[in-house]
Amino acid sequence: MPDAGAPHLHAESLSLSFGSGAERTAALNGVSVRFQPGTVTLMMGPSGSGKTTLLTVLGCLQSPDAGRVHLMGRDASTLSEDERAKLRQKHVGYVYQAFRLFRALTAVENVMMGLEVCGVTGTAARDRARAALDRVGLQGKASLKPRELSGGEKQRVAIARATINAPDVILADEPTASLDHESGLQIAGMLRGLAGDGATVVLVSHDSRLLTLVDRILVLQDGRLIEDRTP
Amino acid sequence: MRLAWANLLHDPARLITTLVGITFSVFLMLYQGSLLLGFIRAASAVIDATSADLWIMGRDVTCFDFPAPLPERFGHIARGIAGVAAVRRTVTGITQWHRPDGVRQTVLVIGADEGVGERFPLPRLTGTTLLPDSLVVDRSNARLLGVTSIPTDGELGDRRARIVAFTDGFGSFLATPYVFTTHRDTIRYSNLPEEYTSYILVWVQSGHDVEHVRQELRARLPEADVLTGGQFARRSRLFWVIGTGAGGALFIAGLLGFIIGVVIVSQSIYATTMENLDEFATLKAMGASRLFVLKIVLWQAAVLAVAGCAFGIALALPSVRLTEQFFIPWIYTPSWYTPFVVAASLAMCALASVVSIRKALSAEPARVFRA
Repeated sequence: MPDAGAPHLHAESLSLSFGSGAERTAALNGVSVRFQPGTVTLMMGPSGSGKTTLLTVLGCLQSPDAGRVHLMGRDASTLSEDERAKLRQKHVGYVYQAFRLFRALTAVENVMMGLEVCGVTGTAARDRARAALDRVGLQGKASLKPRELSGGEKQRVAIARATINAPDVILADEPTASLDHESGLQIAGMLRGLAGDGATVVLVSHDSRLLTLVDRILVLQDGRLIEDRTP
Repeated sequence: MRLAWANLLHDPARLITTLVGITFSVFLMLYQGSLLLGFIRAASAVIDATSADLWIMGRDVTCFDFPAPLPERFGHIARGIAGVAAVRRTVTGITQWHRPDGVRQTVLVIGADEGVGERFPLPRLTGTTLLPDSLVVDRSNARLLGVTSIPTDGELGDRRARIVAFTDGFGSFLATPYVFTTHRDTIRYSNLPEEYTSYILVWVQSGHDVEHVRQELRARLPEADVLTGGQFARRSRLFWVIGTGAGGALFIAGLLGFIIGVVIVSQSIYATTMENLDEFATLKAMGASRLFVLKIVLWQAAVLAVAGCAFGIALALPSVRLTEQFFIPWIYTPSWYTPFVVAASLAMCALASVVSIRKALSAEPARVFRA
């Protein structure tokens, strides 16, 4: 664990390219950044600037060609695939534009999956999942399947699932992009609330409504971090 | 395993299609296998019913049903070999059974001396006394022979004969039913020369080596083949199963059932896995171990295998019984065969899930961020 006040997440000189030969494209080019606990950071930039790639590397879902990611004081580049999975399991929650819910499972079962991958099953898992759904305002929707939920409700289930293990870092990719205005604001408020509880929240979004809710804005272009400012 | 179960039930049409495929495959394996095993057993049923240690027969006789004439004197020679305890004869002949309703039916008459084996069907009065002019037939051939009750009178080879008893387990897989009687009567009914027989059966005295006696007989009877009962039974089975191609066809049909099963299950599990690849990637992003993902795919395969097996067996075993009762009396499912098919089906589903496991395990967790 990092010292109190130390960043949950920081990256040093990250570089990552795709393709080979003449078609080789640098998705990340020497990106270094630190994220403080209890803050919401918004990453912006044009399409292809490397925002989502940076999110996957920060979340230990993908290894960089060069550079290091430190998550909760551990250098992810020194870990095996299984160790990185354990690190994600304990410390990272993901929220996706496409929700990524398990379509055959009910809302409560979707949230329970967040616990089951950690080995928590049965009544204990169900009770915790129901409580998580209550927190995101989905009382009475626990037994509905994703196809029976609205976009905003799906994203709230996804947030309940992402936060069921009280992760230290929340990584969200366009969390409001598929939602109507009202639902978008609600989801943004929830993410703000998670930072208020001490989590490090990193968002990728083009949604200007989020500008008033974030503590910091990073702008990427061509895989480089070109701007780091407060809103 | 909630996710595995839910994914299976999520698409009922696919689940039913897959189960029908596995059920059909298990049915084929069980039914065709029973035909093949019954065929193999029937091919040596008469040989297996004797207790003889050695069989003397014409050179290169392929099976019991197609013997070559064997001089009676070979039996006298055999009796002179040290270690021979008893010598008896078995003879076969083709002739016509004149049914009570006037229809003629070609039959294979099989006759033997008393004492060839307790299970060998012979027309007995009491104990070891054999009835003359009397026949025993397999119950499954009764209709073919026009027998509605016992006794039934008719003509065999234009001589009066009476069917006095039924036996079981000797239903012929050829169009010609077996008719059992004494050695003497077989010679008469089939108009065979009296100085010839078909097989000479030898019992070896206890304390003597059967193989040694066999070699002695071979040396003394170079014009004949001398085989143990097991060797002759095996030769007969090989002839019918491989030599005629009939058994091969049954074997290939059973094998096709297995292959069809593997293909159907592979396709179904693979399609389900590919459809859920994003879900496997999501699980991995959430920190699920490789074992966790592996269990989901294997659980799906196991559920399909067990359910398909249960349905397949529930269909096949009654079908085998009905077939035995009404169409093919020699079809046979040994007690070990059903567990064997269950094991083969489980192996089939495990084999079918190999490619899917590789796909599921290699799902890139980073793909979840691609909208």
